[in-house]
Order: sequence, then C-alpha cells, then structure tokens
Amino acid sequence: MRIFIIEDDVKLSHYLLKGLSQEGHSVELCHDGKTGLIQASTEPFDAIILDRMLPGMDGLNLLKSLRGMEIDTPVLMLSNLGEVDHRIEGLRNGCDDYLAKPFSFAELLARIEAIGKRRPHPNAQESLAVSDLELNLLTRQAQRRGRYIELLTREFKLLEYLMRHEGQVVTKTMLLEQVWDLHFDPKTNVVEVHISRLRKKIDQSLDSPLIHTIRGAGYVLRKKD
Amino acid sequence: MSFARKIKLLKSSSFRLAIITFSCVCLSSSISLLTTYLLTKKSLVEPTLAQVEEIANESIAEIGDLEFFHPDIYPRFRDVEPRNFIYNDTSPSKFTKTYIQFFTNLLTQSGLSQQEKLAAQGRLFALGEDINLPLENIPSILIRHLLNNEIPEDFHDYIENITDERFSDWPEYQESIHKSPSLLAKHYLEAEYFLDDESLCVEVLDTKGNAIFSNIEGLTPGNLKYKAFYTIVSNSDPVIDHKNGQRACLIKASPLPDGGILLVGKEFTREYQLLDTLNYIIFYGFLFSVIISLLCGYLVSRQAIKRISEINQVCHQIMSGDLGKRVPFKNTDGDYDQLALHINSMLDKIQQLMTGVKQVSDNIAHDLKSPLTRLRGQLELLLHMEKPERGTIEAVIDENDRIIECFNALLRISQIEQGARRAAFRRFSLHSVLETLIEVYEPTFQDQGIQLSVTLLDDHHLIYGDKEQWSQTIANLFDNIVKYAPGSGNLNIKLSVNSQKESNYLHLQLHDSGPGIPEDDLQKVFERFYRIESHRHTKGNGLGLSLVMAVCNLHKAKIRLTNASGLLVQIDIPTAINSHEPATLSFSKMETVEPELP
Repeated sequence: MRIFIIEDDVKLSHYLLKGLSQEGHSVELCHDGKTGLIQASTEPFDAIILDRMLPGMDGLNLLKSLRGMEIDTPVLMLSNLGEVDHRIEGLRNGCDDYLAKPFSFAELLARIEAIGKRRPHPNAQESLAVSDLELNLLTRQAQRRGRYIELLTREFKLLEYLMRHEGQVVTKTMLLEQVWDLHFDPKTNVVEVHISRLRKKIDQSLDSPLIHTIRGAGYVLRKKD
Repeated sequence: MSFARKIKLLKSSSFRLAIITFSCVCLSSSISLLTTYLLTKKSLVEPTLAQVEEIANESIAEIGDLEFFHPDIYPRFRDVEPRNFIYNDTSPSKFTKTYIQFFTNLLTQSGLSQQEKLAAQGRLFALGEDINLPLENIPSILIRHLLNNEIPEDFHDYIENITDERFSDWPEYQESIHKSPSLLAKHYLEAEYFLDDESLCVEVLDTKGNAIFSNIEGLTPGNLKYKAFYTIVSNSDPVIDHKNGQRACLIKASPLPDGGILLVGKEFTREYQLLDTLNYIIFYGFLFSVIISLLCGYLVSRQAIKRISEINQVCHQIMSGDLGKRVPFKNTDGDYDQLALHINSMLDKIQQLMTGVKQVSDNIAHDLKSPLTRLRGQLELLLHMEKPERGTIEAVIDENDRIIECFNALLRISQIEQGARRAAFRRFSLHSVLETLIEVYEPTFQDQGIQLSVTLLDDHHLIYGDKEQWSQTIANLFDNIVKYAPGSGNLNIKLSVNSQKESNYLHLQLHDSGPGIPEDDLQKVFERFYRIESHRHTKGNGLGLSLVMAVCNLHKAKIRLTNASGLLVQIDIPTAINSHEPATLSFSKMETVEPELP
C-alpha cells in the first residue's frame, strides 16, 4: 500500500515510516498541514495517517478540505485527544478510523491495513468463504468440510467480521469497536475468551486451524500455508 | 508584617457610612428644630407686630388729620408763663381773674392769627368765660395741657373744677395743618396715651434724629431703618423692671411726613426670652448631636472594623500558607458571622480539595514509582544481555502499557469529574448497552464459573448521558466481578424502573456471590488508587471504581455497595424526560440494532 503520513512529530513519523516500510508499504512523510493537503490532494495514496494537531493547518480542517474536494482516500486520524467527543467529531468529518496516542505499532498497522484495503459492500453477498470455511449470512450458519457448525449470535458476528477481514490482523480493540461498538480496553480477557470459544467450534480437532493469534497484536483468520 | 493589619478608622467605609447616616439624622432634626424656632418666632412676633403696626398707622393717620395748639407752635404764647400771673396773687380765684384778663386783653389786640385767637379763646372758655367760638376745633386735652402748664400747681384743683364743667361736652378740634407733624405727634401722643401705658413704648425723633419725646431708655436709633420690621431693644425702665432684668420691646418705626420718625412698640420681654432660650437650645442641641453622631459612628463601625480586621488577618495567615486557620465567629447569627461561616466552609472545601489533590498526586507518585522502577530494572537487564530476550522486551512493553493505561484512566476520571464531556450527552437505552456488555462478558463469566441470571426490563427506558461512559462503567463493574469473585456461583443482573415522586429512576442491580468488600473499605474503594489489602498483589490500578463513581456523579446517579452474601451493587440513574415518546423509542431501537451491522 502507498501510505502518506502527515505528522509533525519527526521522531514518531520516522518510527512509523520504518515500521510500515518493513511491513512492505511505501510511505511518504510530511510534517505540516498545508503541504500535506496539497500532496494528499494531488497524489494517489491508498491510506493517509493524519495527526490531528498540525502546524499550518489543523488536521480536522485538512480532512474537511480533503473530503470537500471529493477525495475519499481512507484516513486514520492520530490524536492526543483520545476522548470520545473527539473521536466522534473526527468520524463525523470523514475519517475512517481514529487512534489515540500512545498506541502500539501493531494496532496502527492492523488499523491502517483494515481501512486501506477496500472491501465489497456487505449486503451484496449472501455468504462468505475462507478456505474450507463457509458462512451463510442469511441463515447465520457456518459450514466447514461439510460439517454444520451452530453459532450463537455473538459468535456469528465475530466470525463474520474475521472472515470479511480475511488475512488481515485485527486487534482486540478493533474487534470490540467493530463488532460491539464498545470503545474501551477491558481489564479482563473478554476478547480472548470469545476467540477461544469460536476457535473451538471452527478449528475443533482439525489440523489446519484458520484462526491464528499474532503475538502482541491480535488475531487473523486465514488459511495457513 | 507589611500587610495592613488594622484598618484606619477614617479610611473605613463603614465608619464613613455611619457618620454620614448619623449626620443626616442630626441635620434633619436640626432642620426641624430650626423650623420650629422660626414658626414660633413668627407666631409670637406677628400678632404683636400687627398690633404695633395698627397703633402706629392709626397714630400717623390721626397726626396727619389733627391740628393741635401748642405754645411751641405759636411762639407769641411763649411769654405766657405762670410767673406772669403769680406776683402777689395767692388765691386761685384772683389768679384766675388775672389770667382771664390777660387773655381777654390779648384777644382785643389786632394781628392775632385765627389759631392764636382760638387758643386764647379756648383758655377763656375753659375757665368759664362766655365765648362764642367753634369749640369742635379745639382738643380739650390740649387746653387742659396748656392750663396745667401755665397755672401754678397749687391752683390745679381749683382750675380742674371749673374746666370739668366746661369740657364735659367739648368736641374735638379738627383742621389739617402739616407744619410740624413730629411735634404734633409728640403732643398727640402725650395727650392720647399720657405715657401711662406701661406696655407701650413710644419715641418720636425729629428730622435731625434727636429724640424729642420718649418713654424708652437705651434705644439707639442709629441702626433703625424705616423699613425695619421690628427691633428688639432693651428697656431698663426702673418702674416696670422689678426683676432688675432687661426688658425688650417690639418696635415699629414709621416715617412721619416731615422726615421725623415715630417709633411705636409693645413690650416683648417674655416672648423674647422664650425665643432666646429656644435659640440657645437649638445651638447646643446641634452641637450635641454632632458629637453624638461622631461617637455613634465610631461605636457602630468599630465592631465592623474589628471583624473585618480579624478576617483580613486570617486571610493573611492563610496566604502565608497556614490553610488550617479559620475565621473566628461569635454565634450571633449576624451578617459577619454568616460571612465568617461562609469563608470557613469555603476554606474547608478548599482544604479538602487540596488534601484530595495532594493525596492523589502522592498516590500517583507512589503507584507509578513501582512500575517505573520495574521498567528501569528490566531495561537495565536488557542492557546487560548479550542477546535480548523477547520475553523481557515484552515485559517492558507491558509495564509501559500499564503506566500509560494508568495515566489514561486518571485523565479520563478527571475529565469526567470536570464535567468537560457533557457535549457527548445523548439519549440512549441503558438496556441495549447492558445487553451488549452481557453478550461480550458472558463467555468470560462462564469460564470463571459464574452463572448469569439476567432480568432486564422489556421496556426501553432512555437515560440522558454519555453512552460510552456508561459502557465503561458497567464493564468496570463486570471486570471487578470477574477479577475478585471468580468461581463464586451466581451473578444476578437486574434492571428495573423505580418511580419516586415525580421522577423515574432506572435501578441497576448487580449481585454477585463473591467474598464482598470488608465493611471498612466500602466507601474507600471509590477513592483513587485505593485497593483492598487482600487484592494488592493482583493486577490493577485501583482506578476502576473511581471512574464508576465519577460517572455516577456526573449523571446524578446514586451508587450503593452493600454486602449481602456477596457484593450487591445498586445504581439509581435518573431517566430522561419524555422517555415514552415514539420518536425517542425508535431512536433507541436504532441504537440497539446498530452494533449488529459493523
């Protein structure tokens, strides 16, 4: 992916540049709002990482101008103002995801990859399939190697999300946000419990598990090669 | 102590105010006294003056109208002196005869004016001679006067007998001449009042200002003006002054046609004394009230100044760092006590907050010291490793995350406590929030051996507030149950509506069957960084319930913790107004459905 980082913290942006480049993305940097806007509106990017506080031009205004020019490059907004109001404000003004500083690189990577990868409209499909796992969106039934798997509503929602983001790392907070619309870090391992239950049902006694844990980051659903 | 401990009396506003108030009172009372004085003076002076004026006017009119005979007017009669007749006439009849003869002879002389003739004829008539003359033109009293002057005193009785008969029906003489009205006035007054009337003061000044007639002593005419309304003069007439005091009279000065002045006055001593006393009283009363007002101002403001000085002193002590100082108060329930009470309660609140802040910052310092020390230790360990272990690096990151999380939680709590996040307030269904959270937590509860029994209202009551704060709050409570009551058996979750008076409350009840909280700690658990002794070794920062409390406070919800074979958490949350409106109901449904379509 071609990622554009508009961030005035030079150290942080270089750290991001390094990290994202290692993951195989091509990254460009910019340290102030005005040139950032010009560059973002003239060059094609797959995703933009935008800091909210910027010299020259406020990140939120930059986003507004960008959306005003009908440029809908996915934007991940970074901010020290990690509060809900600001997140809602950012989302309302057209950013695709919002991440509060300080964050882990894994979280950022997972999120930027999630928004950077275009996915088909959810309602256009009747079923999802990953490897030998099939999920019927209408009957809410899963099938693996011809075996029907009964899913509870919560398990269905979780599996649907994982399957739609096949091959992408999803973090715990992403799961809580996207599946349940909960915006906080639980002090207990609620997400792990959900995943392990789902794993039991999907990967039960099979030698080729689909749900994998990525240490320090989250989970990914993919066919293991 | 550069700070002004004592307030200067004269600079004190309350002293000024008191003085101004009392001065106003004094001034108004003085004005009323003065008015009384003037009115009294007027009511005393006016009738007397009117009387005097009436007499003066009458006198002037009559002086103008009348004509008198008098030797002084007709110089030829100057020669008519008693000595001309006395000689050797020792009997009154003989003298009278000679006297009559003299005037009879005079009448025969030619060259007498009509006036002179009349005067002579008048004398003859008075003494019984048969004379035909216009008697109405000669004032009887003048004739008597002339006779009394010209005839020796020894014969007065004799003459009296004769004249009484003659004068019994003598009409007054009338003809106007204006040769010398002053002189006439003197004679008129002599005749009219005989200077007997003690209450009447009379003086006549001629054109040169000399008194030609007076029954007043000590009058200084120099300061008299014609227009003078009245003049108080002293009169030391020994006849009427039996108390050896000065007498006063009210005098009216009227001009006479020839330039002389007629002064007519009435005795005014008693009234004058009264007015004088009144004057005296008013002057000393005013002086006295000025002194009293200054004194009262001082006394009244002294108390105020004293109290304010006390308060200032305490404030100064507090400014110099002694926050434990309090303003003394005297339990009189007065305004200064109220002020003192308010200042004291303000100081209490400030002190409480300061202590809170201090405690929190102490706690932060203390609670962060151990993870930071651990972090440092781990980093040092890494430094000395030949090849860094992945586990150690992860531990470092974990430790760092915990510190960040702790800061975030603190920041969040203080933001909630400041109420800075009311902008995110919406109506939402607590019911759906609870359902979502139960969905998320249920597997974890099951893994921990906790069976859920959930009783949720079917009714979607809305509450007004921050949805995410409430999610976090309930999640914190769930986390606590998972952490501190594992394997305990049951968890009852109940959401119901409580109607109290006018307002409705949503009643959320979480009842676990865990070990509960020691009674002593029931309130302390809401304090920041407070951790129950037995939980100190477990993971956690002691901020979870502080956040719960902050959210409850922000939403005016009440939270109660009780030990009832397990911990019973009860929260009463006020419901939003008009929660049964269709529009808001559909809104709540939308909210419920939303999470299912990520």
